[in-house]
Amino acid sequence: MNSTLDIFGSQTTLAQAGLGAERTYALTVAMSIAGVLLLLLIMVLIALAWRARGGGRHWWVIAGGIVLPLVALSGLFVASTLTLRAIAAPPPDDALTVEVTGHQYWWEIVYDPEGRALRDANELHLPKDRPVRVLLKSADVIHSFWLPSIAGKMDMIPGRTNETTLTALETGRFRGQCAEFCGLSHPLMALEAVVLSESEFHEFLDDLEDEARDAVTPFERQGRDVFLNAGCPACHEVRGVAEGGRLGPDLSRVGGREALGAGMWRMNRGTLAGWIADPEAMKPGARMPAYNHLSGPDLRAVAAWLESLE
Amino acid sequence: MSVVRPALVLLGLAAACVLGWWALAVPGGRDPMGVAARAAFRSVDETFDRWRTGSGPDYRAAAKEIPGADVRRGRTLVRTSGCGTCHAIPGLPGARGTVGPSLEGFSRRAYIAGILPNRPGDLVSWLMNPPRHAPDTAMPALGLTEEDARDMAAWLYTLDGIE
Repeated sequence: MNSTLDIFGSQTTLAQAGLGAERTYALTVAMSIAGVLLLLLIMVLIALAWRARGGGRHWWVIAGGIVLPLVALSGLFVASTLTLRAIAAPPPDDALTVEVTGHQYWWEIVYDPEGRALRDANELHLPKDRPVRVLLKSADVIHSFWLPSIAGKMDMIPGRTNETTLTALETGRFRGQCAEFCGLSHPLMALEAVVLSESEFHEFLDDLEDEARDAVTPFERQGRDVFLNAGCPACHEVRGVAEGGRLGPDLSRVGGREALGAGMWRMNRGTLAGWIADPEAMKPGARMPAYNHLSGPDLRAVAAWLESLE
Repeated sequence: MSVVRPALVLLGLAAACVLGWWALAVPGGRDPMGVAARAAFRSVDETFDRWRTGSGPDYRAAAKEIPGADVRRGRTLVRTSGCGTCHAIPGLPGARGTVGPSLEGFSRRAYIAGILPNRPGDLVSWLMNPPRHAPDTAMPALGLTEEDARDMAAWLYTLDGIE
């Protein structure tokens, strides 16, 4: 209850919202039932053997020692192979491709990398009921991509592209987590999957193509100027304001994300200001330097402007 | 040597007074002097007890009371608003911010941000809009409603530094 988990909802394999999670769960239930039944059967056989001491009945050994394991293991082998086939089946050729790159300690997301190349970070949007091809990469160390409610995990290995297919079956927000120790703030590297209906999803992609929202109030404009003058564009991109910075997360719609710091805190101007003033305190080992040389009002202004980018 | 004799006389008189008063005040005595003395003793005794155990009306706590505020909701709001990204807050996991001051023992702090007296009305007003009171502050206005701010203030006043 005290973690940030309850802010962002489920991170569990027991509530399935994706094809992979659903099939894996079904297999788990089937194997558990089979395991219990086999245990009971063996207990009964031991009891029988205890009562009927004496030898000579070889068929028991053959039936219990060879035939039974062969049948049971073959059954489970077939069941798990079928599950694997369903999970790992390649998506249709016209399926959308999303590239997710693990960084210490955040996720870079590019929709349709070969085509429109729409960049975002830390919130993976998925269409409901549509298989999506996900390419997994790493920019530094080994990470692991895991959305427990949607599918099983897969490693992100530097210098290599792993491929997996995600099919979300329910709309909503589902929390994920880096599942391979990747450094000091590994436990603070979370991910959010946002499953939208088909039309909402395409609307979202179209929004990613537009320039970021304009600064409206004088305070927001002050914040934008602070952002430009303090050197933030060296690492961060805001479409239409400062382009080219690729070392840190794209901030074009940062205020529209539910969470800050890769799924760690609720997004608001307070947490944004705290992050900018001292990222290290919130996320030990984070690459971003502390911008605590900004004056109080400048810090508030840049936080307010970033919050307005939805 | 000339002071010894008067001093002894005065000491003797004082001893006689105390002894006489004590004799008159012994339990069960019916004399008015004893009754008055016992009443005086009891009153002194009770005051001493109250001072020693700290019971009785707690004016310090009463001054920090916020009527109708929901302390539990306040704690949840402090946590989900992410106050811990700037402030170290004892009892809140992950709240180890170093951007602003630690909130340990906040209810005993005299001033809010070194500007406002730390009392309920001022704290609620500060939480709702810090830059209104301190234009140069780095603490932003989070757009809290008055109800939110009252609940949060009520929880902040439970931080008395005694774990």
